[in-house]
Amino acid sequence: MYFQKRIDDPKGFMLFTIILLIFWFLMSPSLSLRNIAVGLVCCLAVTYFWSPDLFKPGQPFRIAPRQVAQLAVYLLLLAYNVVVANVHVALIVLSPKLPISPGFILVKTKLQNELTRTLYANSITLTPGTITINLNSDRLLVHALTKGTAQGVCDWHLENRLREMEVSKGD
Amino acid sequence: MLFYELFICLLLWSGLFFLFVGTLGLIRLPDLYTRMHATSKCDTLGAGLILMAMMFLVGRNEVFKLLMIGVFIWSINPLITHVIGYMAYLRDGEHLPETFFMDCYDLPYPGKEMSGKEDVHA
Repeated sequence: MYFQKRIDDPKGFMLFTIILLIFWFLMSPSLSLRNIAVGLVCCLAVTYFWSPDLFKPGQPFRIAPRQVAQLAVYLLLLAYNVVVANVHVALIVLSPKLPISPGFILVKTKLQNELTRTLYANSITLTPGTITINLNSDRLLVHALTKGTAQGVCDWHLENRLREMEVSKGD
Repeated sequence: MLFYELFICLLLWSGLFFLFVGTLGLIRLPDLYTRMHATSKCDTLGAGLILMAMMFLVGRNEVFKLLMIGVFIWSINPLITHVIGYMAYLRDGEHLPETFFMDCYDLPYPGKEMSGKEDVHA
């Protein structure tokens, strides 16, 4: 049957359910028995429904504490970069001559994991002068607002941080 | 107390400024792809700043919900931008005539010029 899914990664399954439960309890108004029951059932059902997409064979779903810290640092750096990007766009839009030289650029990413690749593609969209058009295995198609920003996307220091986060998975 | 209110005002007005710049860019920039630059980035920061100002204004219980709204806006905005851009790319949306195409897949930055659009289905 199409709705029967095999669970290959019980530890990852539990971890994901716990993450969803934490989110549920932060949102729920009280800790009554009914709230807990509904949350538990919903979290298990959601994880079960998406398990073929979440847990790939050979890629166990684990989160090390060190990775959480690295992610927090990464998100802080990303927030700073978003502010820089906005000032950059504001300067271009408000200048009377409109100094743009747009173009498409195809770059290769070093990242291996699908989750970090998605994070990387989204961060490219939020940072100065570039938006991701397509992500196909390790080919990233990026639209750049100026030639300078096209150069910047080729060797971007935040990609190395994501790569470090991927590598430090050993638990 | 005065400084607190001034700080909230500063956050609100800077958020409004970035939303204004995003809309102005939507009008001024020439083609779809460049317009997306203005709207995606400025809307994200503008909405984020206004939400931050609201976080300082409301009671302690609501802060987390506002924070979640902010997180969702910040994570979904790039996705929507990507989908719009990808659809325009597939449908041969019009772009500026001086747009460059560059292939840096296996070469460092200057790469080589592509003759035209990459076939994304290949």
